[in-house]
Amino acid sequence: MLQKIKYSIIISLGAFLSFSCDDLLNQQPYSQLSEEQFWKSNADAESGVVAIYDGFQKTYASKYFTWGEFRGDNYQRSFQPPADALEMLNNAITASNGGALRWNAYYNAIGRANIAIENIQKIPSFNKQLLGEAYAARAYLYFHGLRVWGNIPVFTTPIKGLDQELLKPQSSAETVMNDVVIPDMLKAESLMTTLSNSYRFSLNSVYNLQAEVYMFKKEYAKAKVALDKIVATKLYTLVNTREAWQKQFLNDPGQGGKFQTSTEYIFNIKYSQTEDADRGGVFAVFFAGLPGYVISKKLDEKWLDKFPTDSTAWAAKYPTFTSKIKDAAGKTIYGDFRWYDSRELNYSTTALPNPRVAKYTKTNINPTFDDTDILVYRYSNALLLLAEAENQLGNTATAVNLVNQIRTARLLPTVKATEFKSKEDLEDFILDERQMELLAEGTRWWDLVRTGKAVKTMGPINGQTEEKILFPIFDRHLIDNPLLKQNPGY
Amino acid sequence: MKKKFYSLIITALVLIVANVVYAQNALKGTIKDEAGDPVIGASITLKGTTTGVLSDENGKFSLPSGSVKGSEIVVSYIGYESQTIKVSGNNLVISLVQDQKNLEELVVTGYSTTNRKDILGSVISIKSAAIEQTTPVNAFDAIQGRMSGVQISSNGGPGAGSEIRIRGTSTFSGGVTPLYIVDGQQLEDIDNLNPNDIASVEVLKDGASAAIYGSKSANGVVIITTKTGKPGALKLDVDYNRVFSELSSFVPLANTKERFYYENVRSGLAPELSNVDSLSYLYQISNDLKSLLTKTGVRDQINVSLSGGGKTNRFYWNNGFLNEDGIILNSSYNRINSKLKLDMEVNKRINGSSTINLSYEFTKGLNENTVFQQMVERIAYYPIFEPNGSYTPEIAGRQNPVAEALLTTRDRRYFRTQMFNFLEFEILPSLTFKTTLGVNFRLDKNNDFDPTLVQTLPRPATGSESIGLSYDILQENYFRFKKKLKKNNFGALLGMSTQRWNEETSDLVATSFVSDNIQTFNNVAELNIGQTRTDKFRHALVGYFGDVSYDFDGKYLAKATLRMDGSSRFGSNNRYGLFPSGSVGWRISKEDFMKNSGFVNNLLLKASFGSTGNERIGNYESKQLYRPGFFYNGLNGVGSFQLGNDDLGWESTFSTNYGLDATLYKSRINFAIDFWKKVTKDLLYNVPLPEETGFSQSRQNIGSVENRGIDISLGLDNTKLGPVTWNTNFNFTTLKNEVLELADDDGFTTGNYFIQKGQPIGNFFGYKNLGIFSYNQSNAFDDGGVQLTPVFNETGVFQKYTLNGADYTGKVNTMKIGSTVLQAGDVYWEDLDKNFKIDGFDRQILGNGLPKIFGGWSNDFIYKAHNLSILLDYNFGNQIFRNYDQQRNDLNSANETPSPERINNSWLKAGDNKPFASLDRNRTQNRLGPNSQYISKGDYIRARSIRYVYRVPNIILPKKKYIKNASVSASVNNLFTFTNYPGFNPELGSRGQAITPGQDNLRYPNKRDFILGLKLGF
Repeated sequence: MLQKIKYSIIISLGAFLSFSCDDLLNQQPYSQLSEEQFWKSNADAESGVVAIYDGFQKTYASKYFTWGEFRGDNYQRSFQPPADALEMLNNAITASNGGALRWNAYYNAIGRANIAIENIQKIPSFNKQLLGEAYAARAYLYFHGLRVWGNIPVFTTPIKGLDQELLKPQSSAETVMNDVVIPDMLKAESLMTTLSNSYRFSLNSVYNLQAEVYMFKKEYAKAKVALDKIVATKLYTLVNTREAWQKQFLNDPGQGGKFQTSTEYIFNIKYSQTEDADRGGVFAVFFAGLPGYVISKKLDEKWLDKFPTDSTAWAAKYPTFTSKIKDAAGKTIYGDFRWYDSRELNYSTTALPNPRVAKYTKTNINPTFDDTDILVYRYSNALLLLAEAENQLGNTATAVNLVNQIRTARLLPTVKATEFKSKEDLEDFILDERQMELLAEGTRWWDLVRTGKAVKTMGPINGQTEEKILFPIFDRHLIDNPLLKQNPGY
Repeated sequence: MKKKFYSLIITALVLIVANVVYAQNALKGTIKDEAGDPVIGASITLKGTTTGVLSDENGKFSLPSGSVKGSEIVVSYIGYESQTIKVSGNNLVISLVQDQKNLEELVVTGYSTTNRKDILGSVISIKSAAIEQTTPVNAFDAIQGRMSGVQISSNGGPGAGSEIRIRGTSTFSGGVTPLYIVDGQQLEDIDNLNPNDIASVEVLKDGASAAIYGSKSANGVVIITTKTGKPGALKLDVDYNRVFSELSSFVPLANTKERFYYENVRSGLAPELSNVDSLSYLYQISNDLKSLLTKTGVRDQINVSLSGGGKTNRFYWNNGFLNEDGIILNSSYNRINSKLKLDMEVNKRINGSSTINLSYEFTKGLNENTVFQQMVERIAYYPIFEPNGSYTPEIAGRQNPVAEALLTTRDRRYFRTQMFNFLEFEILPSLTFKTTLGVNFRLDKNNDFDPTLVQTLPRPATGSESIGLSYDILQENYFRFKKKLKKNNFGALLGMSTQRWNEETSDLVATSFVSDNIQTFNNVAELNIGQTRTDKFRHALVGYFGDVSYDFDGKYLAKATLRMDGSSRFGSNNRYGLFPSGSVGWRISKEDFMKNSGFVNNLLLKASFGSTGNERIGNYESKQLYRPGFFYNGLNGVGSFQLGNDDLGWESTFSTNYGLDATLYKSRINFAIDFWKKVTKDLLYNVPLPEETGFSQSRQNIGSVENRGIDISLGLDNTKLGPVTWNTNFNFTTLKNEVLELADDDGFTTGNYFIQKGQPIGNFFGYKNLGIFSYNQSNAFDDGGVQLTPVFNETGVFQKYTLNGADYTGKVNTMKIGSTVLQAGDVYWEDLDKNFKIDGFDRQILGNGLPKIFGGWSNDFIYKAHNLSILLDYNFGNQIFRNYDQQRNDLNSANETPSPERINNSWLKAGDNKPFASLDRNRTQNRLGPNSQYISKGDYIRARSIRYVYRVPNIILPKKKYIKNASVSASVNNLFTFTNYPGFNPELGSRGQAITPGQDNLRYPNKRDFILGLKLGF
């Protein structure tokens, strides 16, 4: 009997051992989502699209300026530039310069756009504006990619698992332009319903993007159409005081905090200290410590030649135009207020050969707290671009009129169409106007590239050649994907 | 109180005169061991009295004769059986017999205990007596240098702990820590364990021993058995140690004079030394950061334990208190432990046990990056204090390291509760069933605060607080069978185990605080919305296990185990893993031909294989997932951050072990040698992906790595050096690591390392520095890449090139980086591909961070009541990359100061032959890295601990016997280190990073401890 009890105990305990635990092993995440759980509603679509802009923050923090600003003639080296800055200034970019070339955040943003484009369309009665934003974002990103590297690998469908094709060869820049950028930006226009939004893609920023793309392709009539649409909305006006102009840029606790307000904003990439760890790179690249870049003597001379800061030279140049700007004490001063407000006024000539850009900050801040927005499309930029298009289309008077709108708003004397001998002459003049208005806004290098003046302008300065206009591909990317080919100049 | 003081003084006095007094009139005798050698330090007491003596260097003793008549004496000595002898005359000769229980030592090896000498795998065991020696802060300090095949390295700083590697690194990132089992409870770490609680530590090194733990045992298993109460009278043990610590090494820092010299030449100008003699305040300050940042550390360790019990119940209760003040300002570690263990016998067939361990740990840490990096790079004339006595704030991006250390808060608090209960039923005499329940609860609280002073003006104070709550529940049930049929011994085990982990974290992050005055979040000005969050994770493991063992008369032994484990972490296709093992042994000493050999006590030849697993990755890494947290313009974006991989599965290690255990010459010589090999397949690694896919990496089972080596341990016990008994143990391990297979045979880089097939893990990958070009013309090579020798005339004008003594007229090639031609004062980098262009393709293996040989040597010298122990350990064959030195010497920022060595030994003018490149900061061509110049040998031999203990003899303890035993000790830890490594400490834990060993970014410096201890038993 006792024996029987013993064995039944053994058997029942044995049965206890063998119960199945598969359910225990099916642990679902609490703080993350699977793809099946997401993309169910327009609220999900909104979150997914926001993540693309988050990708913009990461991608462009400093690269916006590395790619569009520092290879132009706005800068010269400081006395003690970091190696990365020297590479830009000396036109000696090496393929190992990950800071300028690594495309992790860039393609990550593209990936998020691809996911959004594929999935938003599956949502019943999906929000077309959001899908349009995803297309616009992808067009914007690929337009940068083809200008920076030329031929790049193209992904337009989302990567979800390792079983997909991960290694792709590059597509030609032309293919990227014609098969991705242009269709995407047109699709964006057709889907969008929001006319303007300073911090997200809207119809107006898509028009501006289209204009940039067409200007790059030298399709001036199409560019004009796009830009005219912006003007026609009458949503934007040029700011017309020195203070308002400065407040478009200023983000400096020493100057009263973050202003960055304007009636000219078409599209900015916004940064915020209180959201996530994404920080802007504006202070770090232009001002922190002894930066690599200071405003070039060449630009300084050009600027002062156009708008002298001493009264005699001013009077000699503009005998009929009284200066409308005043210093802090209320005394009339001469010149272009943008010259005063874009540069560091008291700089040490022993530490720096020329002043730093002080358009955004004028005192030292901690770069880990930099939340300066990147101003991508501003109305003055659009108007000057339109002036270029009009000039190319032979509408000299319209072009000059557009330039004069800016000049008037900046309290400067206007010019007459008769002052320009040729189309080329006026183009150079407009580019100079853009250079002064848009200093440190990531446009100068692209202006030079777009108008074919990169080699002519930069050649004498740093030996720029046609084949070095593109950036190299980061060497690690070449290792990770053997199908990629380095650009010829490197 | 006064009385106590009195007795102390008397104790001291008695100590001095004891021998004189008691040697006068006596019962005399001699104590000998089985071999007839005198036994020194055996205790001889009159039964029922407190009178007692110790035997002298000749084994002789004498007791006062008056008290002898008709009484009995008790003779005892460690490792021998106690004897009670009736006094019957003078000049007694007493022979002691070795305690057989000590030889039949039981060792815990996975759900059961095994006789030490029957172990077929490779298991090392350390007992509490050895653990005490180093006055350890944690369990690792206690066993460092004592175990072959086990490498322990400190991570530096109070509370930072140590890390353990058992037989090499067999993973890329799937976690490097072993599985810890404390009294049967599986734990992820044992940082909070009070070393004073430990009765023994067993390390299962080979696969066959560890395989029964399956899923988590690929890095080995550490089994800790804590102390248990013994039946008998209650025992109170009090133990106090005070430790004074001082800095034991430092790195040189440039002074103001060197800084000015550097400033003059860094822009490519000639050194202008005239201004160095200035009386200006600027030139007069030269802060010595070493003395400003360091101090004498103090550590107090107190333990109070109460234990005892009767026939059916036993208990052990220990309370530990540890307070350590570090050698760097404002760094400390505090720990309070309380452990209660109850063992109960319900009846003959049922017994149970319950253990509860509570601990509180508090680490005041440093912001290591800022403090130590700023310290080595700081400009010596930058002030530390303002004229008004306050700390100098940040200057040009450089934080004040003293203010950083003192004013910033990096508080880490851990509250932990571990409970473990079991019930055991004896169903049949040969069959038992055991059911266990373990709960491990942990609350972590981290507080960080950076006040205004350490911020860049005008930034306000910032801070964060995070709380981590985690608990896991382990439930196991198993049957054990054991039967002896004549000379046949059978054993078997069958069981199952489930374990579930829950983890919740919450973070509060401030963008700004209102003021410095209050550091809690009621004083927050603005919250960081993106980083203020909570998260929750879960993870589960299910396992089935069993074993069978058989031995014939202890002569032929065999064992096989099998475990199947399922983990929730893996992809649906590969959730379960199977882990078999097998082992065989042949005890040669039991064979007839050896039986009569008096010399050989035990000789066991053994072989085993085993498979073990590793699942230490994130909880949901096999799934394609989206997560929120991608904020933009006030909205919380949700994005995909991880690719799915349904095939993600176990990382498994297959190991083989061939060993020989020998006990010779009256069990005085113990020798063990193991030849082992571990091959780990399907490594869990974050494989870099081509970034154009939008993802930088993904977790995959990829590649294979092999570790092999030899573990040797040799012990000599009871060697007589005149009157002194000497016990020694030497251990030695060789280690060879090789990557066998990778997804991409070309390998991949990770940070400054390159992982490549056919090469070991831990290879530094960078540029070889062949020296400095003395002249511009030195950068000249023939077509084959051989350097040409420039020839100059008397006035220094270049004439011609020679090659091997002959004039060279061929083509002269010059080396370039990018478009820059290297010039005089530039580094001559080795041009591997001989294309005269230095680029990424010229990188090569510069060294390796894994040691090839390591081990330790312990020695105990016993003379009467005196005990001196010396523990040395050593480590050879690895290199360390001084990243901190490369960083400060790269001239990248105007506000960082290079090392004095760099400043004083740099190329300055044509013809200079110096080890360092020009100090001209514009020469970015000299900034390539890793630069072989900063790779040093990491070999060392260290005096880990030297300790002297005096056991106060019974006869001089107070008459009333309320103190049963007492000892005092003095020791020095880390008295000296023989090393050529120029950094803080060649012992550089990798902080859990499997494949990046040996990169020194500068961390908490090493210290030397002076320890005084007192131990009392009541």
